[in-house]
Amino acid sequence: MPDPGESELVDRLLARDETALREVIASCGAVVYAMARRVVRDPASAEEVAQDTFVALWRRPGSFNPERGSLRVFLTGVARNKAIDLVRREERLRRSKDALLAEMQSAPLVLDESNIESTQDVRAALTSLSTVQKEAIVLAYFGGRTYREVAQELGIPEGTAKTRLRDGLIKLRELMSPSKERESWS
Amino acid sequence: MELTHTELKSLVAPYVLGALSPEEASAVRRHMPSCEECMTEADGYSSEALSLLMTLDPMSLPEGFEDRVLNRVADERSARAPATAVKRKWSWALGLSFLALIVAAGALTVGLVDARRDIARTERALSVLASDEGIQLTGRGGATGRLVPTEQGSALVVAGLDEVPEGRTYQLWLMKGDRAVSVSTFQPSQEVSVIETPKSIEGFDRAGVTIEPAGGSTRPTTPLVMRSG
Ligand SMILES: [Zn+2]
Repeated sequence: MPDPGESELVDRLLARDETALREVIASCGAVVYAMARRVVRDPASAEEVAQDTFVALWRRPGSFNPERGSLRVFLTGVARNKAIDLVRREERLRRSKDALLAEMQSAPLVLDESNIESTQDVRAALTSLSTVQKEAIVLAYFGGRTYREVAQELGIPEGTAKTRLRDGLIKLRELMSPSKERESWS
Repeated sequence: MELTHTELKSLVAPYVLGALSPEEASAVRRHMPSCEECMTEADGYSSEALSLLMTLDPMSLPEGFEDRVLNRVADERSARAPATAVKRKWSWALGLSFLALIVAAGALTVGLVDARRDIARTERALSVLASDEGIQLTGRGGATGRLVPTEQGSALVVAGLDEVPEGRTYQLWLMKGDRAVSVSTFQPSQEVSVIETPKSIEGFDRAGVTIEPAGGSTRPTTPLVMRSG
């Protein structure tokens, strides 16, 4: 379900309304910045990524489609891509394996609950990913590592790294499906 | 070195997570359109599932963040002409889906979009539009397209083109200098269309689209309705 408020925000951004941009920053800035910090080691560079994310939205508000999900999820995805690009270019900005993996333990907040029953479900779901799958996925998804680098850092064969990434994604898909089925029955 | 289907298939999951080298990612993109099995593999990783990964504790923004963004925006405003609003009808097409962003501007060229009207694949076609690969084309009214290399030749992904009048057809050209070589005639069959062609884009630096009499012409006879660069 598209959020009518978010469609209206996009219209105001298209009309070059700066207060609309302020509202978006107020509602999404904290998670966008958190995503950038999760990927990028240096806080100043992470801020730049977060700024770039909002400037990009300003330049092309039409790139967000309210029918495809919430603005929060969209912007967080943009921020992640920008952050990954940066740490791929500048390796010194990458975060260490230990720092990335330590965060796996912390209880996360969910960005968009429209697809799921409850935050509890998601937490339960994420904990059901095996530790080795989670490690591999976290290093790739938040760490900007290629599967080869994942293999190297975890001291496992490259084939095993690929398998762990794949199995982790399949597990995530399975975790999603119950709520999707519920949706189609209602 | 040429990768086999089996090797490429094992790269699909890392590809979706953005965990490939640029060379490998490019190989996967070129292989996917012609391989049903690898397409199906990619389809299995839904954007909803990936959004589960985006769980974060919000962090308070650094002092003055909002003003710094607004200052940058104001600088841009004075530096260039006001942005033109994206034609509403096509804003979704120009928009990148969440999945498209996840696949890191991945350009999976999708010959099967038309046949299947499959949303996931349309998303991937859209991701082609946003990638850096190949030759970008733009036209009036927000029409946008990208001609990308594939294993078999090339594929044009195009959104926002109006239907052509009776008795006419769109024709795609590759250009270098004064030379224009016909690639293919086509009719956009839906909002986002993918046209696969056996022609390689190598050796050309520009592309364009004209409207020609049905059957196509040997060289462009009307002004370009879409052009690159
Ligand atoms: Zn294949």
